[in-house]
Amino acid sequence: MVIGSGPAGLSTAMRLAERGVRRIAVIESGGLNYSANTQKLSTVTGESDLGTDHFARHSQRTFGGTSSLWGGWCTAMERRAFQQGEWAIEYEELTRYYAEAAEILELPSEAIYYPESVIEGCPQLVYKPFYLSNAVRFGTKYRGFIAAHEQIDLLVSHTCAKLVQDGAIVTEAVLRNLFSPGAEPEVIKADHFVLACGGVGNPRLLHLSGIAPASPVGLYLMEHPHLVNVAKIYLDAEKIQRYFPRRSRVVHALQLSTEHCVEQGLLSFSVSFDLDELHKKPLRGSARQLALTDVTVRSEMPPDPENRIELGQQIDALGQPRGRVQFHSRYDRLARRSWQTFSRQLLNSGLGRPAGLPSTLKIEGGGHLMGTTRMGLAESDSVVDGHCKVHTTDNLYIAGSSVFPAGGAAHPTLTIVALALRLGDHLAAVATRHDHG
Amino acid sequence: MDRRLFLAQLCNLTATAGVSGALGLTLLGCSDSQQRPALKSDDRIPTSLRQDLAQLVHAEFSSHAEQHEEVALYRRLLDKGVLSELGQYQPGRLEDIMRIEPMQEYQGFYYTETELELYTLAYLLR
Repeated sequence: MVIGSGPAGLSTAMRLAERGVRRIAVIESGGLNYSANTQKLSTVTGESDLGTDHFARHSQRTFGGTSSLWGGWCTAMERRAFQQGEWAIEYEELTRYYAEAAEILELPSEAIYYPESVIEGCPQLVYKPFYLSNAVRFGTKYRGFIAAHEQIDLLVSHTCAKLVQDGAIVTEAVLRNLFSPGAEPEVIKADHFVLACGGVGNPRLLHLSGIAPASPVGLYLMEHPHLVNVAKIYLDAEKIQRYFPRRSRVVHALQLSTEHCVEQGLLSFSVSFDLDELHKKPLRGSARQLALTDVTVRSEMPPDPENRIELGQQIDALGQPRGRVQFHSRYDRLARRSWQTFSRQLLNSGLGRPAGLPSTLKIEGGGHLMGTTRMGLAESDSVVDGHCKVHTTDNLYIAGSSVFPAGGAAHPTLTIVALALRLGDHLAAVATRHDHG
Repeated sequence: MDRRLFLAQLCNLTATAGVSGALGLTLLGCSDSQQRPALKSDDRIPTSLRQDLAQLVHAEFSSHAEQHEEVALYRRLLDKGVLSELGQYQPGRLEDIMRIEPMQEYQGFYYTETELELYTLAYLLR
């Protein structure tokens, strides 16, 4: 049973079917089309410097999930996010699924095979663009496919209120229908369960079910801090264009290299730009045609257990406690240190000249809710193992960015789908062993 | 003034100002152990330098130029090796210095001190 029909849930379900799993149920809280009433189930309370609406908005309850809002930006996770053993799997274990994930997301192959280029003469800087896919709406693209599929049963407008456990085995899901809130809940049994309800929904359901109470469920909530049009830089237009991909639609970006981040004790830091108006100005002692551009910073933030999703006091229309978010990015100091380091390398490279940052930074979020059921080796400091199985259970798995122990600066959708395919492969093998006793 | 005496006095002043300053100037090749030909008292900025630096002239540096004097800037850049004894501009030397100098903001953008001096001199010589 897969609970949630966003990119994580549908990719997992379709992979299971492809690998021969005979019966797969996909349960979706929302309907085939958006409903504001249903969406209210995603409302959270609490405190956040991004506002609480931010978390509800990026937890869409409709068939296709939050892909209904997706902007189509894709980039491979940086190796830096794996450098210090944050993940319980090797980097290559993730990246080997990127090519297939790119096909699902209708990304050009350049995104996978040429994710970044080292800046000549300055290995501390890389050109690492965001590749633009067609912003696949999973609910639109896969509606007919799922509806007609013999192995997949889709149940919409049913919200999983709770999972029931018997020891380490999850035995059934209790489903409620928002349009019949007084009706008896439906109970569906399955051999294996996959939660794919997003960075807020996954930990909330674990909390509601009393699963893994000794694990950091809901803790280490991460986002990608965005500083939109935060500063200007001049870039040598002729030099930087040599790195541009030839065939793909991208948003251009420079990034500190993994090695330099590790050396400087920094996290991944990306600066996107465009080549706007040209000016003839001196740079590193010679006159150049320099493009003046606003830049947007997109960055990794460290996991902080104080940033979290818990159960709050407010009750939703199904009579269940809403999620309560506590989130403060505390990003100002890291942003300034990273910008100084980036500026230094940009000047050293002869590629451009940065401006200073403003005295006040307005931090926005990318809508990337990560880390709340993090992957790791031990139950004490993680929720799922390297196969995305909840440590304390034998048959409950989690798909989506809530399993990320480190977020990189990369937009997560490519990694979400890659991990979902990997989970599907693993679970299909487990299910096959189960079927054969 | 004898160039060796000038450099010795400059380095002594730096030692008074702080170790990092001395280190910076040592890295820049300025020490009282180095032997350089003296600046002639009637030394003028070579015309060829004006031509070399013409490409770097930009009105943006006018406000910085108001606070500086061209001969003093010329001498500083000579001392740093960014300009040769013949007054020729040495771009490789500038790049080496820029890598180690701290950044400073000028009109909102980052420069290094020597880079800014060079553009200011170019503006003054325009």
